[in-house]
Amino acid sequence: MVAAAPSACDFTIGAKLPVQLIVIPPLFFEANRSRRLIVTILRHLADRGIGGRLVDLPGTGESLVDLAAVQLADWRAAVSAAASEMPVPPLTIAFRGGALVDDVIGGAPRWRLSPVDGAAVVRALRRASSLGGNRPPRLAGYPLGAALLADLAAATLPAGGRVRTVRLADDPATADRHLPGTPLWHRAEPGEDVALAALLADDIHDWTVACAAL
Amino acid sequence: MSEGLDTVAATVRAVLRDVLALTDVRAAALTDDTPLFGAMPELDSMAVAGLLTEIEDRVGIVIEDDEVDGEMLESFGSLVRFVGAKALR
Repeated sequence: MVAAAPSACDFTIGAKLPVQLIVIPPLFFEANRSRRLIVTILRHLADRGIGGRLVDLPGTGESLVDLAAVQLADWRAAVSAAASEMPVPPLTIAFRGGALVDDVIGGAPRWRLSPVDGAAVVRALRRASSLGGNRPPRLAGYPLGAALLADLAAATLPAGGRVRTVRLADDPATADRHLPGTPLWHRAEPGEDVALAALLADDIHDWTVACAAL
Repeated sequence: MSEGLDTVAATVRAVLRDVLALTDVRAAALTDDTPLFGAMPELDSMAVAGLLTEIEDRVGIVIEDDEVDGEMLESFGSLVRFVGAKALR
């Protein structure tokens, strides 16, 4: 385990708003490709009275922690620590592999976009790595420790609790709703999908209203 | 082409469009003989990784590392046949 201090680099918006979201990004290179989409969604939501904090998982993004020493438990601890610092207990939003650690805030309703299990995350990393000519211990440019790799390979999406799952229209996996859009997280040059960001912000907004009514 | 392979071709065409940000016109112009890896400038090794992962998600198959080679990615037709062989068996 490494120190679980929340990253000072987390993107936060609307910290004084009454409803708060904690946002767990996709893992590794998918996080970089999705960042613009996520920040756009959070800006839309801030305009409608919902604040948010996008966490940097230890060893990824702008985090200064050495990824080689990180375990999956560190990511859970970081999400939990970041949530405890927020002005009100947040609802949890997770994108892609971020959903693997979205169950750390006891009882909080969770919203997920296109969640994947850990085996798929590891397979994508290995593929990007072998195609890119990387050699161990780096995988696709990431110095993953053996412990994190083993944790991820065995990680399944946490079940139970109140979960809403949204996927893209072309994704055949089951979901509460399928929305038209582009899988920017699989694009080497992600660009943006303005319509998808607006649709996702609408869905999250309506979900927070439904959660508050329960 | 069989009806099943037609469906696979439509899915692979849509994935190429979405992952490589091709225009609808370029995506529609892909034929069996259209060369891919080494011929399409957008399709570098990182793009191949995203392409294959998105195909896995949409078709519901798993593509092993040792199955990925130049022959599979040589043309649109060869990629469709590879995916079809996995999806339709």
